[in-house]
Amino acid sequence: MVKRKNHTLRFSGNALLFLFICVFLDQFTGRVLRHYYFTTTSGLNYQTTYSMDSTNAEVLIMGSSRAKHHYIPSLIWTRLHTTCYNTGRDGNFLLYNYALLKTIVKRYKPGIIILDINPEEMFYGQWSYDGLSVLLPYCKKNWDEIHDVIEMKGSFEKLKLQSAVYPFNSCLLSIVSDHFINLSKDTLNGYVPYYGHEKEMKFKDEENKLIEPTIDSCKIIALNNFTSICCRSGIKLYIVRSPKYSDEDVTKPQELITSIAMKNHAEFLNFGNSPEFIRNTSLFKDRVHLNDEGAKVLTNLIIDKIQQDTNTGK
Amino acid sequence: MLFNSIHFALFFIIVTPFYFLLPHRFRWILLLSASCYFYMVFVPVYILILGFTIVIDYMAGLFLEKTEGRRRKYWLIASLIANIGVLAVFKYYNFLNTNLSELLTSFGYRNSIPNLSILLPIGLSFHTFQAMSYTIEVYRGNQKAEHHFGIYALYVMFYPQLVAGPIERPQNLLHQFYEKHKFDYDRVAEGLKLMLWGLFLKLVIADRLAIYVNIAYNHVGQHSGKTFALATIFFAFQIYCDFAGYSNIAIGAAKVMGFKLMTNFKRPYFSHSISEFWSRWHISLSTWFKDYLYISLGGNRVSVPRWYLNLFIVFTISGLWHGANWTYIVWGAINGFYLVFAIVTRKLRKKMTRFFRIDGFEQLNNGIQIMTTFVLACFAWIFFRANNVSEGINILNTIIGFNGPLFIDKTALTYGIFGIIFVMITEFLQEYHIGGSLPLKTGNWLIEHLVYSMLLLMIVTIGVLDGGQFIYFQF
Repeated sequence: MVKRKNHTLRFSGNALLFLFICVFLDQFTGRVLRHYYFTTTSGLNYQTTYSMDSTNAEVLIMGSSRAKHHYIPSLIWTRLHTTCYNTGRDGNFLLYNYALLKTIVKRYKPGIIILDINPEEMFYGQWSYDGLSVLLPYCKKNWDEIHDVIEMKGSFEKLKLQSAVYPFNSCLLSIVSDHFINLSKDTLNGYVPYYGHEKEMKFKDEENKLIEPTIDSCKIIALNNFTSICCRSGIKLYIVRSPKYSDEDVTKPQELITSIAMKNHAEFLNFGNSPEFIRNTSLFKDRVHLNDEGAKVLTNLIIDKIQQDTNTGK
Repeated sequence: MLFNSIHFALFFIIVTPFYFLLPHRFRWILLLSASCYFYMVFVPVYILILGFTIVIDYMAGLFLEKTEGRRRKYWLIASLIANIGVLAVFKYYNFLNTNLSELLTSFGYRNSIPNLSILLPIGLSFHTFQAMSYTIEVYRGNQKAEHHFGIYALYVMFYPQLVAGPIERPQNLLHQFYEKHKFDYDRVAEGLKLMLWGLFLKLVIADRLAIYVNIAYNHVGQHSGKTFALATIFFAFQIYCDFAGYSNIAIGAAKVMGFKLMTNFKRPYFSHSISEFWSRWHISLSTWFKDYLYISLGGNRVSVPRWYLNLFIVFTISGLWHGANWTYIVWGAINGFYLVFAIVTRKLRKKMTRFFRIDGFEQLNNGIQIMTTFVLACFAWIFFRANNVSEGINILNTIIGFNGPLFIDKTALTYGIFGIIFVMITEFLQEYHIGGSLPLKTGNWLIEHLVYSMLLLMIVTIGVLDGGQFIYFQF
C-alpha cells in the first residue's frame, strides 16, 4: 500500500514538473513566435496583419487566391483615384473573409468592398475550415470579432488556444522566411500577379470530382451576415464570380448567392461564363487563376461597372 | 474516436484514473463501456455488427469446448463464415460486384445486381481477424473458451487496439483482463512516453509527408519522375510513421493501464531482406497470416513449387486484407514474388557477394542489403498508394523516365526531410545502441522530461493539427 502510494506521489510530482516545463516552453516559444510574426514586414502573414490592423483603403478586395491574383489595386487607383488594398489570401474562403470583415469594420468603414467568390465555395468541405487556422494568431486581439468563425473549426478551439504556441502552429517556416529570407516589400498593395500560363490547362472533370456536394449552412449564414454588415455600414458591396478557364455548372450555389446579394442590396457580377475569358489561354495561369493579363482585363471590367454605378448614382 | 484528437485526450484522462480507482472486479465494465463509446463515436449503429460477431464467436467458443469430433469443425466453420461473411458484405461486396459487372460487360452482358451504399465499418478487418484468432485457437486446443461474456466482448473491443490493432491472440490478451493491474510509476511513465512518441510520428512526420505525397499521387500526369520518386520515398515513411505511430499510442495506452500488447513494428527500414522486413512490419498481421493461413496451407513442409505458391497466396490475400482494390492485391502479389524470388536466388546472390568480394566488408554489405530492401519496399508501395493500378503503372513509368523538374513545396519538403532524418537517427540509435521499444532514452530523468516536453512542443509547433485519420483505420 505504502509502495503504491509512493508510486502515485512520484507520478504526481513528476507529472507536475513535466507540466511546468511544458507550460514554460509553450509560453516562451509562443511569445517569441508572436513577436516575430507581428513584426514581419513581408509575406502573406504580413498582408493579413496589415489588412486587419492598418489598412484604411477606400476600396477593399476580399476573397481567396482568386481575389489575390485577379484584382490590381494600382489600376483602381489610377482610374478611380481612390485607395485600394487587396486582402485576398490563398486557400482561405468565405468564412475567413467574414471574420476579416468584422475586424476591419470595427476599425473603419471602407466605401466599396469587392468580394470575389467562387460558387463552389458554398459547398461543404473540410478544406474551408482547416484554412481558418490563419486567423488563430489574431484571436488574442480580436476574439469578439472572430470567435464565432474560429469555433466552427472544432469544438475544442477555445481550449487549444490556451497554448501560446498553438496559434502559430505551422507558421515557423514562414516566420523565418519572411524575416530573414524573403524580404520583398508589399509594393502592389496585396496583389500578387501570375505571369504566363501552364502548358496544359486541366479541365475539372480530369481532376477529383466533388461527390454530391451539399451547400454548407454555416456559409449561408456567413454570406448573409457579410452582406448585411456591409448594408448596415453603408459599404457598397460587389460580389464577383471571377472567370475560370472553362464554365462549370454551379447553378444552385449561384442562385443562392444572387438571392442573398439582392436581399442586402449588393451587386452580384457573374463573369463565370463571360465569352471573353472562356478558354482564352492567354488570360489564364491555370484552370482557376487569371494571369496578370487576365487580371488587367477583369479589373478594368469591374472599374467600368463601378464608374457606371457612380455615374447613375446607384 | 481518433487518437490524434482532443476528444481522445479527454477520454483517456477520464477513463484511466477511473480504471485505477475502481475495484478490480468492476474494471472490465468500465473498459467495455469506454470501448463501446470509443467505437460508437465513428458510426454508432455499427456496434451492432460487432455485437453480432461477438455473440456468434462467444457461443462458438463455448460449443467448441463442449463438443468433440466433427461437430467441433462445424462450429469453427460457423464462426469463420459469420466473420468472413461480415467482411465480405461490408468490405468486398461492392468490389466483387463492380468487377463482375465489368467482366460481364466485356462479354456483352449486363449485371443488374446493384452495389450497396454502405460505409465500411472502421477497423473491421482488425477486430474480425482478432475474433477469428480466438475461435481458431479454441478449436486447436491452445486456448480455453472464455465463459465470461463481458470479458470476451472486451477481448474483441478493447479500445486501444480495437480499430487498428495490434491484432492480438487470445493467449496473450484474455488472461490479462483477469489480472489485477496496480498503478506502477515506471510502467505508466513508459506508456505515456510511448503515446507521445506515437503522436509525434503521426502529427509531425506522417501528416507532413502526406501533404507532398497527396499532391503528387492525386494528380498523376502533372508531375515529373523526380517528384514521384521523392513522393514514393515520402510515402514509405508516411505509412510507417502513421501506422507505427498508431501502434505506439495503442500499446502505450494499454501499457498505462497495465496491459501488454504485442509489438507491431521493429524498425522495418533497417531490414536486410524482404523476409526480415515482414518480420518487422505489422508483426501482428504477418504472424496472423503465418499462424492461421500459411501453416494451414502446409507452410514449407510441402513440395518446393507448392511452397512458393503458398507464399504467393498468403501475400496476395494479405494485400486483399488491406482493401477491396486491385492496387492492394498487386502490392501483396509483388511482396509474394519478392519472397519467392529471394528463395530461388539465394545461392546465386551468395556467389555474387563472394565474387564481388563484398562479404569481407560487413558494414558495406549490410548497407547495400538495407538499401536494396528499402528500394524494393518502395517499389511495392507505389501500387499501395496509387488510386488504381493503371495510375500505379503510369507513376512507375514516370519514375523510370526520371524527367522533368522536381515539384518544390518548401514547407512540405523542409519538414518532410527533417522528419525523416529525425526518425532515422532515433531508430538508428535504437537499432544499434539503445534497443527496446522506447526511443529517446537518456537515463537521466530531468533530461528525459526536457526531451519529451520538447517533443510535445514540436508537435504543437510543427505538427499537422488539422490532419486526417490514420491510414490503417480504413482497413
